[in-house]
Amino acid sequence: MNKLFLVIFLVVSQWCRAQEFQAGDFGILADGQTLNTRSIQAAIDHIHEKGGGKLVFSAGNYVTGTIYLKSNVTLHLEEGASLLGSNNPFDYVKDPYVNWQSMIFAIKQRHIGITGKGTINGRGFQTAVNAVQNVHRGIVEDELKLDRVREWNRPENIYFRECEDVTIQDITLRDPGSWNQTYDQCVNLLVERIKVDSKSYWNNDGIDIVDCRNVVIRDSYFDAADDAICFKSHDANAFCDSILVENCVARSSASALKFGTVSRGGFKNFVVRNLTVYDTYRSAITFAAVDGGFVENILVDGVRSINTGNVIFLRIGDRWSQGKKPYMKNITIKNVYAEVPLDKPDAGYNYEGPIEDLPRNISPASIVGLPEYKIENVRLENIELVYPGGGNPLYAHRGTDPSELDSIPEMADKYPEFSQFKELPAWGFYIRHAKNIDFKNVTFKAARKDYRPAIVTDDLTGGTWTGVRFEEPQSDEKKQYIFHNSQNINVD
Amino acid sequence: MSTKRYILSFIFFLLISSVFATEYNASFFGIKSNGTTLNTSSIQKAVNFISERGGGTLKFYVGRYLTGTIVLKPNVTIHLEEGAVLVGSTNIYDYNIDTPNCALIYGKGVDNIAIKGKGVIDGQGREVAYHLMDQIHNGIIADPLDYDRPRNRRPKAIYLRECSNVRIEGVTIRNAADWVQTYDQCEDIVIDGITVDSKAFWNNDGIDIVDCKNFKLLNSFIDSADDAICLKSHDASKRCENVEIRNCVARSSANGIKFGTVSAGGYKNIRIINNKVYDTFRSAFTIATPDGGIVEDILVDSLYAYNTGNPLYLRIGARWNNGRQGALSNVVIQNMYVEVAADKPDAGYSYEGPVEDNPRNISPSSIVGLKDQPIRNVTLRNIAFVYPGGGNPNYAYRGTTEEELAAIPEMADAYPEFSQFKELPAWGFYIRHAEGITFENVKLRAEAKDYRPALVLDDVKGYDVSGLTVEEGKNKKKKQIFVQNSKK
Amino acid sequence: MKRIAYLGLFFLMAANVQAAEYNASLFGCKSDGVTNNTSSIQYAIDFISGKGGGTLHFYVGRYLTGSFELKSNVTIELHEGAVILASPNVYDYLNYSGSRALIYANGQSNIKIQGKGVIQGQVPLFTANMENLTSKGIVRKDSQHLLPDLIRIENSEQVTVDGIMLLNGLENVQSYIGCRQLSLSNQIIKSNAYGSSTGIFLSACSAVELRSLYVDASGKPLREEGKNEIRLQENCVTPNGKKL
Repeated sequence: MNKLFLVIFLVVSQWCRAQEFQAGDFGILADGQTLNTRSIQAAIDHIHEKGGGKLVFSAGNYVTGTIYLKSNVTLHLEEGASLLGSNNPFDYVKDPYVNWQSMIFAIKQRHIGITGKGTINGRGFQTAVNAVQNVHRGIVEDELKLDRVREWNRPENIYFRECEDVTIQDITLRDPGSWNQTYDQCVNLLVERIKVDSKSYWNNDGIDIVDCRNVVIRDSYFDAADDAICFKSHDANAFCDSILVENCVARSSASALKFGTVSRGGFKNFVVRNLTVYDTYRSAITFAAVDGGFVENILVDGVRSINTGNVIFLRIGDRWSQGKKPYMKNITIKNVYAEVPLDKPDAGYNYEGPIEDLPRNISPASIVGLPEYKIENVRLENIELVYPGGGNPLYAHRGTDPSELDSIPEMADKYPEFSQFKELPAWGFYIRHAKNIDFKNVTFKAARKDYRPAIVTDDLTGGTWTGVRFEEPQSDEKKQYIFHNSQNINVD
Repeated sequence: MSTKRYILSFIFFLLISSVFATEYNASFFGIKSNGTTLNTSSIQKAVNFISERGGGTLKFYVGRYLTGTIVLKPNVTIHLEEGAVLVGSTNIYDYNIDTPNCALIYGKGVDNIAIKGKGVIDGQGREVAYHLMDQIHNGIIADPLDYDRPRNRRPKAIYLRECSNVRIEGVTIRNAADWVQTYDQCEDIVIDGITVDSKAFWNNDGIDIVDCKNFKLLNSFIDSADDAICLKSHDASKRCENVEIRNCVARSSANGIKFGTVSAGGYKNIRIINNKVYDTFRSAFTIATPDGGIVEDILVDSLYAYNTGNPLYLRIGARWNNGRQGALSNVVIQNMYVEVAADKPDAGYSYEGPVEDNPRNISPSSIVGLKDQPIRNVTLRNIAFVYPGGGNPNYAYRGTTEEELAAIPEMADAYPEFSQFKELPAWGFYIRHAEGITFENVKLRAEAKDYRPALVLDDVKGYDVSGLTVEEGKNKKKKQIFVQNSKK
Repeated sequence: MKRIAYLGLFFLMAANVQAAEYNASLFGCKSDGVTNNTSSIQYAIDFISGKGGGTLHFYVGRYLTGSFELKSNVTIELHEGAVILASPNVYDYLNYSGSRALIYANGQSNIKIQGKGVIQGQVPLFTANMENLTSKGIVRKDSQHLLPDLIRIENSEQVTVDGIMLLNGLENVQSYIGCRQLSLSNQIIKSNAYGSSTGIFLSACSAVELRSLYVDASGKPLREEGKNEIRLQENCVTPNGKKL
């Protein structure tokens, strides 16, 4: 894998020496008012035709609608330069190939980039609001699901598809109308030192990597209304492969690091190192294989998750699989410290995550496969999970009798979310339909007494558990794990 | 403590509290300066509270105070310190839109109120108007959308009706969605040293003084998309009386200083002294009385206008006069200098005045009464108007024969505007249906040759134009004065 | 018989419904002189044409825009005081098979621009912008082909431009190529800001009627190429009073 990264850097460093062009020379105005769409496009076309180079935006506010980046062209936003999205929804193109709207598109281009300490600000809130108005006026058709225009009819900041050698460096990405940045079926993608401030409207993901190969995301900060760092697989014949995420900080009103929800092809060969998560509504780490895709060879090493609703949620489902068999195996998660709060972790942020699946006491971390598709070979090592505890059976109750455990619905075709089962019978970890789940040096702490045991397994075959410790007040005699329909688990 | 001392200190306390009207900081009422908290209810509570306690000052320090409509109460001063901005909400429903003349700051029948300080009132009018448009297009609010803009419910920045003892001092008022500020049937008003900067939306009049008595507008700067300084009369039983406009500078995409258009009652004893007008699309000074209003005793002294579409337009019409005929008499205009623009004087401003009444060469100044209602006793003294000239008869033509002059339409019931007749037969001055017109030391100059004469008089009784001098390029021999149906 | 009559009535009604009236503001057009309305205007025209036709009304105000295309059965009504303000930016003009225009149509029928409003070029700004791009080597010196017409209509029929004031065009204020049933009337054309500006350019047009045109242009008031059939010319003059 490392060799591939080296190749990326060589390519990148070579083309950094390319010629520079000043945006002002093309009549692109930094007045915050003039719509520069066609001038910026003309500049990109010009540089592309001249063999490539950098289009440099000096400090100022540049309003634009949809532009298409072309091969060998880098947009360079100097510190203080902002690309501002037009607030007129008609200024955006819905690209017919990807069937989505964006401010900056690149389709089937090579050696492209967006760099510099400037900002891309979609100003998406007002654009999205205006798009809703156009629907109400009867001049645009949209079903207005959840009283919003659908995601693809609102502009993202960046949408790159089938591009090669892509560099996104140093920029700040703000306030898109939909997801923030999507890289779909791209190869050799480097994202580093970016800041994402994306909570202006619904579905504001931080970054979406779809079916890409050779990706590095590092030293970056994500604050998003929806999932922060999100890997997806839209194509059943493609998958995300060879991906490094390191030294990133994420905040989300959904999940921080997520595979899915759309997961048709799969995800493999991931290394996630040194991830910090805070104030996040759903899971710090969630891998979903619910549409026939696979998850394989994943190493998560070093997670600090503070004030986050859930720590780990691994799920196989059967939603849009269309006969394709999902699987999830060979996952190592280690060196994790997590604190789960009693209250809403994203309270006070715009577009807080929805309050749902109630009544329910604090949900445990979960690994949940399906009877016919087990999650296999998961290793959890050096982990400390700190829960508030205090689960009250009068509020919500799920007992550990076999009949009660069996009555937990499979929900194979539902949207996968750590809270989907409502009340679960454990406060620390719930495992169902899995093979070979190893725990090594894992500590569960509850601040207050909980009516549930720490761990419940159901249909788990195989596992070596060493150094599993529990701390819960007033629970000296309490049996902290329940094995139901499970076998070959060696507890030290 | 003796009773005497007790009583003395009590009196002293009373004195202090009445002399130093109490001051309250906005924060005392939980009013937030963060620009995002909607403060309507808190500010209203503060105003009510202060008024109920006998009056005082509500002080806003630096910050942005978002708010909807605030209704003023007696004896309350709003003081905006330098850096404080009262920011109008962009949500139309935050305004009193069910009240006619809704406004950000609204007062009716209130005595002794003031708005002072170096702060700003920003109506965010364009955004408010756009939100209102949205609601109209969605069918939530009914409105005919005249000219593709909302007719009703656009909030003004300030609307005061039947108020007395009003002081507006020092503040800057920006970006209304409609007229910027209207004082309707108010008495004893002083507006001093304010700045109006409002080109945010259509109909942004700078200031509208409607049927007010004892009104002073002093030392102010007004830059507005519609008429800058505007006197109106909405009520046939009222009029503007004793109004003084002094030391102001005005810019407009309509008229600089205007009486009308709505002029039901009239105007009496109005003094307009030492003002400047520039970059203004229509007339530097205009009086229109098309709705039965009686206009008398008007003095304009020392008015200087640069880059302006038209110097002067006086007009009687018969539009909404309901049988009563308007009158215009006893007008003295002296020490006036105007340079008329060859191109569009307001080019480049938002909401430029409309290109209309074409084809037409540069229009002259005009005094146009009605056939049976002449404009009476107008004296023009120490005047110089400079025109670009260059009128081309192939583009637009109006000759000076009897038939051609008679063919100029009366347009009594039309909206009065200097350009309304399209091409007029003079380049400098056109006077029709008037009595007692005196030119003392009046200079008319055209920079380029024009096919028209400088002055045309038609149906004028008792004119004296002996004090007129004309200059038109190098044209010395041309007959510059045409007189029709008139006598000296 | 009765049924046929009903049917006829129905069609009449349908035709009535189709000739719908739309305000520009419905499509988010802004009359502030600074908002670039290109996308909104184009969306409006496509929308109205898609609905079978109708009129797009622009009321008083200045509507900044780049290129847009007219479609069949759509009328642009510019009410007195409305100004379609041409962008000063060359890149805001699309390249329509080698030529550029603010308002363009090709292969359409029944298209109309009418009213007392104005279509205005911003020549000094535009040419300054071009000079800048040329000096930077971004556009070539022989960039005449980049100069947009205010109106350019090709291969269309039943074309009417009535009552409009056209100000400050570049090489050609308006061009009509291969049009049939072309009617230009009651226009005021003032175009002196560019070196040599043609008021009306006609090429291979038939059934052309020119009525009451005042053409004050720095170039030829009327320039013809190929064979044109001008059926009628009345009351058309230049500033010195000559016929076109």
